[in-house]
Amino acid sequence: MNDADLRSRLSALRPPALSEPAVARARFRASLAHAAARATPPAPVAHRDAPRPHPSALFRQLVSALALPVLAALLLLPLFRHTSSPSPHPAATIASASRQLLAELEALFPGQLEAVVERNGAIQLELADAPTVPAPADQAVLVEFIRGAQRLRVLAYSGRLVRLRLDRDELQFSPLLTGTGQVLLAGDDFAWSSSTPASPEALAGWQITARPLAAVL
Amino acid sequence: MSAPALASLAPPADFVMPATEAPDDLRLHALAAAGDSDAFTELFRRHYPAIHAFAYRLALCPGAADDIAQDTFVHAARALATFRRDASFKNWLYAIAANLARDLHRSRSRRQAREQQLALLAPDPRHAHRDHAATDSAHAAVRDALVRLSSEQREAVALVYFENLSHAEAARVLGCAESTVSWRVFRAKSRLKKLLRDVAPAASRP
Repeated sequence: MNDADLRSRLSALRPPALSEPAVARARFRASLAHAAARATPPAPVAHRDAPRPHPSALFRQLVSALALPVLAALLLLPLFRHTSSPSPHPAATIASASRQLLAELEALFPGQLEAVVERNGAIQLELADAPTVPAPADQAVLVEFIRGAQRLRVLAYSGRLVRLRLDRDELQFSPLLTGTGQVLLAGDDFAWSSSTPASPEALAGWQITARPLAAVL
Repeated sequence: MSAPALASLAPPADFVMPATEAPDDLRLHALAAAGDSDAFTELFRRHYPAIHAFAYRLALCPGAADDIAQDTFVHAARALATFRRDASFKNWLYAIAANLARDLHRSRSRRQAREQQLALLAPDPRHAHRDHAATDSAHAAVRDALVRLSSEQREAVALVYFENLSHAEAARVLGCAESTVSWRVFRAKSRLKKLLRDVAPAASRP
């Protein structure tokens, strides 16, 4: 078999057709990351007067639709970050900011919001491919993963699946809110309860705190 | 993702590729780096399909290809300022995608201790309906053959045979010596020829 034959055989490996929901989600998340990066000083521009591209109307609509959540996320980020704020009612501030953030995002993506993850100042949204029944606001929970100076905050709803990267592994779990106000985290290979908050072995030293968002007030 | 983690995914700071593509990409990059969202979405529109196809050929799993392609553009969005303008933007994206595929491979390899070895490359059940091509026997044969290569050999084959990069370009994308790429391609080619000798060439199939 020569090289041409090998190329011909390899050409049978066709990539799968693009999934429009996956493309839309990738575009959304990349646009969010791009918008967040704009908060830092821009790089020098060599071709500022270059002709602007002409994206489709769909792209324009998408970008317009993205503007509000990005703005909301950036504006609310400082409130979302400072749990140890010396303000008179820091818990109330955090809760109201988090609730406002959730409400804004739920309004924009009704039934699709699975979690809001804040990692080192960057906000990431976890969205379902297809809308489901919007979760009641009183089912929101705030989960924090802390290891040394590293801190991740996750706003999610009881019963929804949350996926996030811890170190190099993807962690999947569902927060579950009990009738007594405890939060359980049910993961692939760990279980955690706010009533016995020891760090699970599987989480390599990450400490967890979790509480219903309503209880933060 | 933290800045150090992001830095580990980005190509080396001295990443340089010959500027062989249309200059529009470089103009769009300059605009996107200055915050122009239209320019960034245009770069996404242009390159997402190719990066997705490249990711599929590395991971051989539709779900993983979606994840790698998405993360490639997320990382690119955050690292636009580190892209050197004398480089090829598309090849810069290839480099990010290759790094992410390696991370995914390592991550999944750890999980495989609890699962069977080939689970890494089994189709994601969430996307099983999309992998229509897997039902094609030639497609499946090529996929199975690529599974048997090392991830380094698969990267070299994906860039040289599917993306038509030269060995020198592939070496820059992968951050290794050109001779290393040539050796990986040689070893991969020898193995693939044995594994695919009974597969009919694409041109001769109906």
